Amino acid sequence: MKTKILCFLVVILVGVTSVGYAQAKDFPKKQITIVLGHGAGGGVDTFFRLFAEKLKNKWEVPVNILNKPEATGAIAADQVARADADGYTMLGNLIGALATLTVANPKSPIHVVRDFEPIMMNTYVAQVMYVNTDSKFKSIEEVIDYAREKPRELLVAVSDIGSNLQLEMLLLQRAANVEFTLVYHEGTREILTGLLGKHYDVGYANDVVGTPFVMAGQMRALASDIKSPLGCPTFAEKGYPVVNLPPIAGLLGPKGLPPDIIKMWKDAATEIVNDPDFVAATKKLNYTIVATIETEELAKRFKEEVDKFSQFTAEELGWKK
Amino acid sequence: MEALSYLAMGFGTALQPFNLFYCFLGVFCGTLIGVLPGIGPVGAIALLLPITFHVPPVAAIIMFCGIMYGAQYGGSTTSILVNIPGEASSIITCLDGYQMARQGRAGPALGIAAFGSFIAGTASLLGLVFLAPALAIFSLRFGPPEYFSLIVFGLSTLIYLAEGSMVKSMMMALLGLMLASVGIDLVSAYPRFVYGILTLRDGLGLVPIVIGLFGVSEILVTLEKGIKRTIFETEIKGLLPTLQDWKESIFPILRSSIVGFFLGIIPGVSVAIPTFVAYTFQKKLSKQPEKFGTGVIEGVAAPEAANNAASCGTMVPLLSLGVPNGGASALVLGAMMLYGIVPGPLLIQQSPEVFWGVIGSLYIGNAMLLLLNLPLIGLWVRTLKIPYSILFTLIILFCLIGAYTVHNSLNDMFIMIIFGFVGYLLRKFEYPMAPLVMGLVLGPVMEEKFRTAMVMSHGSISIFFRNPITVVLLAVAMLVLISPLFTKKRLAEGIKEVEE
Repeated sequence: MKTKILCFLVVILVGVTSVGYAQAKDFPKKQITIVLGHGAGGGVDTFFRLFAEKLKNKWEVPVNILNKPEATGAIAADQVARADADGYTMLGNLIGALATLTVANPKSPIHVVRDFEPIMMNTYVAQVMYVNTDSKFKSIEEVIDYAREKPRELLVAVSDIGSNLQLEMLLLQRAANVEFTLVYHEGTREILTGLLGKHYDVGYANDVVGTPFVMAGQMRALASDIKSPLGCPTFAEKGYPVVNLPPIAGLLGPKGLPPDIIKMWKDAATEIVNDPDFVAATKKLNYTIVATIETEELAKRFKEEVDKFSQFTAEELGWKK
Repeated sequence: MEALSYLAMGFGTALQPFNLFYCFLGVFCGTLIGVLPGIGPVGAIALLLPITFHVPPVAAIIMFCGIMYGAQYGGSTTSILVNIPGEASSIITCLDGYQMARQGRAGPALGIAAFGSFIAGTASLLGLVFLAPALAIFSLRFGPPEYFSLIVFGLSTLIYLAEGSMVKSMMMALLGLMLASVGIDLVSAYPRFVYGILTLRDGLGLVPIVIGLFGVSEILVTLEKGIKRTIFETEIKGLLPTLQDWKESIFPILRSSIVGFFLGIIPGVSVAIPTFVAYTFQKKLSKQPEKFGTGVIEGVAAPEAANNAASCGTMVPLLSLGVPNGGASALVLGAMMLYGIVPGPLLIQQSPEVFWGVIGSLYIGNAMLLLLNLPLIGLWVRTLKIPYSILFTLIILFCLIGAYTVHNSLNDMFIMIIFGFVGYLLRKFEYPMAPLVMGLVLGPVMEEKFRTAMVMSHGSISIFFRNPITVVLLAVAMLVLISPLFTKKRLAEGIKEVEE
């Protein structure tokens, strides 16, 4: 009997203390959740976890990262779009992936511009064309020439359909008027092992995953879309400026966030990306963070990015209707 | 030898009381979470990741290894006690483990699982230490055509070795392949069998189906027979494996460790495949193959050893190339990066203390698991004495929770319930369920590899004959599938089936 009463009291106690602090005027007062439309262990995930660690120290509340990679991030995006616009639930996602979700499905419940308020946009990696060091290709020109001579012969490994990697290769094909054969994979692991095992001619992946192999002399970096610590020329320098669609990780809130909460988030983000520890930690991992937070510039970049992704038709991407 | 002195250094680090504590914590939490159906090592690490932030890097990585082992063992515990696999690789343990539990031999089953895992872990760590770089290079030779051949080989041998009618096994395997096609196709992003339901875009999900097919159906079948009958032997026949058990298990353990380790190395091959292969390999070599599935201890020893060895094997590409093998090793990679360690081909040379520290902690985690779980076996076994009317309610509750937590989705719970009924029907009509699961697990990978290979070869099938690996694997697979035509016994069995 006594234990029953004890259990009852414990339950009541737990119930009472878990009532949220809905009346709080100050922000933040309780746990913050950043929902990621990407899986644990990847580039976006690592970036946000480092960010969350700093945010937790600054705001002194728990900051929780929730991975929801299902349905290519549609579920995560939907959850945040429907959440209360109080600043406690935010979305961390590649902007391009959100744009693709909107564009690809006209009946999509989420719309990247209509449903979200961007706080911050970051490039954090460059996308690089790699070859095995034993390959005959020593420069991007040689690759393009070969592709021109032999259409569809060149095997280029990229990740999945709709990814920035695939889209940049489509842009390159358009600009250089050549045709590759793109081979799709889930994730970058197989691109690397495939290239090392000489199953593909060219691999297209980001600079963070490829750097250890370039350092070890097993792969060669031929060109990248934006400047990379690997030191290879950019596509723009080689005459293909349109190949400029690096992944951009965005921190977004649901539309309708009050202006002062937006400001608090932006101030915190600005402080964190300039924090020397944060910069050092990301550099150590070979990330190159370039952040856009200031409102006007952010709005412009955001629109630009969404437009870039809308330029592809479903057929071009290889999606069947 | 330099390697040995570094290894000693690794052990030295791993054995510091501070790190030992975190190892213990990792193993303990990992086991608790692994016991929940559906949450395997990956889920456990993802859940416990936030805790590790407060912990210094080396201790955190040690904790991860502990979680991995703990979760694996937790999954085995539920497989044996209540026929619910913790994750794909524990399915095989259900087959004989649960039968042993019903015979009152849950203790020895759990014990041999723990010991077998430990021995396998030791053996594969030695393999890791001495063979890692060379093995990694060999594994690179596996491109899409080679993977496809390997999977066809695996699936064929599994169909062949399933007991009973091969036709039924093939039917189930094909059903599994069909179920696996639900979702968005990788090569053309075309949604298949999705019917506009958002969660189906990622497929039906292995975990809810498996929990339903094995766990829920078991409860339905038992309930049909009547709760009042004594289902479990109430007399617990000993808590630890007997000498006879050891005699029967030691060679299976050693063999399965080797099979598990080498297959686990291949990047992209999950831990499930080496476990399946080791089980069927053991069944083929056993002196009593017809008893597999009724509760023979080698049927528990082999898969348990194999899955532990394969987990270690998956570390090979991670540590020597910096390429994770999916699942748990991807999370370990992420964790390493969070602490500023970038694994790559130069890890061994540039940061030997990390490499050897990880090896040392893998071993300590292994040992810790054994020490922690042996005393608990008595406790676990006693849970079986709970009256079944209460026990099965709890089991269903845990199944529902497990199915839900995978993707925080109610749909997964429905899928589990539906497949519970499907499993019940399959049992009543005596269709083997293991090939269905194998088709489900292997289907997506097989299809992806085949289509990728076709893209690579521009549609030419000759790519599957490009080197000895593919030719041999495919040839053996073919032979295995048509062999019943030539074996008298199989022929007679087949005729009997048709007549019935």
